[in-house]
Amino acid sequence: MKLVIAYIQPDRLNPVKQALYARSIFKISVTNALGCGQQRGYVQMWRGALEEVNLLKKVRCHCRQRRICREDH
Amino acid sequence: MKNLLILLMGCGLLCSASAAENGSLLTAETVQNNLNVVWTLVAGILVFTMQAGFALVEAGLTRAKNTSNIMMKNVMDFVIGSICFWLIGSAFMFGETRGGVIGTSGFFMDIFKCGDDWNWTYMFFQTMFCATAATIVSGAMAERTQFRSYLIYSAVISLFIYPIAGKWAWGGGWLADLNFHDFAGSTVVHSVGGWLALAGAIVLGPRLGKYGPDGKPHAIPGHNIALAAVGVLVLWIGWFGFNPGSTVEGIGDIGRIAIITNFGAVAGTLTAMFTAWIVLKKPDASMTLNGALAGLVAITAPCDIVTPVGALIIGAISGVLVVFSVLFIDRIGVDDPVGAISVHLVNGVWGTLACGLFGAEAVLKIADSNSGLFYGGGFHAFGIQILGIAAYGAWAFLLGMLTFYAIKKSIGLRVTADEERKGLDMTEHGTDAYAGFQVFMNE
Repeated sequence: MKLVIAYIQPDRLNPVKQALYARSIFKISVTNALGCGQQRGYVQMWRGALEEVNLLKKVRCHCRQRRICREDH
Repeated sequence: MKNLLILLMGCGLLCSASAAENGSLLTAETVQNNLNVVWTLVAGILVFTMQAGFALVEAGLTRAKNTSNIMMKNVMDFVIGSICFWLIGSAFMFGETRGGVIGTSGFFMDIFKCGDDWNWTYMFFQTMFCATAATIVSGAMAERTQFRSYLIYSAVISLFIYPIAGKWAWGGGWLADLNFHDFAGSTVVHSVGGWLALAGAIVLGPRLGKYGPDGKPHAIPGHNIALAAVGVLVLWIGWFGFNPGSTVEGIGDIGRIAIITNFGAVAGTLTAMFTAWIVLKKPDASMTLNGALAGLVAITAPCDIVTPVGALIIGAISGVLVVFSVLFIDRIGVDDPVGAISVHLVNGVWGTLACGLFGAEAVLKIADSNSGLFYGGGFHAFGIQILGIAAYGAWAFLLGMLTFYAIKKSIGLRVTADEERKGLDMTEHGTDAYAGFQVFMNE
């Protein structure tokens, strides 16, 4: 049994979910999260003041599967 | 308008046919008086909707953890303002004038004796204006003011600061004697509120995390642009009572003033959007919204004496002014979460000046000569406007600094750092505005 934790873009949640269902993986749980990768976010502006946004909205997807299909990685 | 009056007079004659049997007569004068009452009351109710507008704008441009506090401040400054103005403020503003500066009769509701319908209505209308001035300040002082201190300030402005200001220009005071022009309140309401907002923001100091150690301003984004935008639209609606209602008569002018008001608003919105687009690289929503309000504030004083083209120019300049003002106020270390100072003070002053520049009474056929500098009226009116700006600036700003400093030294003006971080909803009111929501903090 393997637990896969994936941080994905929030707008990709439905395609990822459909792809998992296509492979008969139904045990998933989803939470909202904040995070960033190597790019360290972006710069936002609010009324002329610059803000470094380094915690971006993400979706954390947990899914469990019995067998690993190597081509999924 | 003429047809309506004829219709009403016809009804009046019909009524008087039966009324004559009772011995009373419905004259045209009575009908006009009733029309004045109806219009002034409806306009006053529209001005009341501006309270909702201010609440929405301020909530939208501040953080979710302070929303209950914003709502309480906006509701309560109206409540306290209504009572204080009625009991004492209206006497200062409309009582018998002494020295051209203060009213000295009519305290404790005496001023409006029963039996005269007009006085009740006029009082209703004027109360709404007082409440508007009071609620301007809550935006600039948002997210870090003690609630009880804000209540005390609300009482002070409604009891004294605003009424005296109103007496000078509207209550037969010294500025009225000099023909100072402020038709619906760019100066008396908005710039006075703006000066107090500036004083409050200065005495309070900036929010935690607003400025870095190098003094550079950080962004503290508002939590709901939808609320802010709807708030601006609601304020816009209310302004159609604020400006045309200031005729306090049901006459033809109200249509003209309404469209002039709209021109000021749309021009301000347009140029604010373009200014933000150029300076900030994007058509910023909150700046555009501020632009609409800036245009409305600026057109408020001159709306009865400027031409449509004049209104568009006044509004256009106000939109540019507000964007640069927001950036400037931020950079000099004054934290104004919603742009209240830029909208109400800066454009209140601009609107006051605009009267002396764009006054076109002769063009509009409402007087023999134009008062505006740009219409050949010379410098006289312009000079009086500057005098008024200086007088109101001294009065409102100095008294504001005094009031807030006194509150700060006695019961304290600002909340503790811990309370500010937790959010005023829980610490001041124990009422989470968004119970059940997970608020995502990105900082």
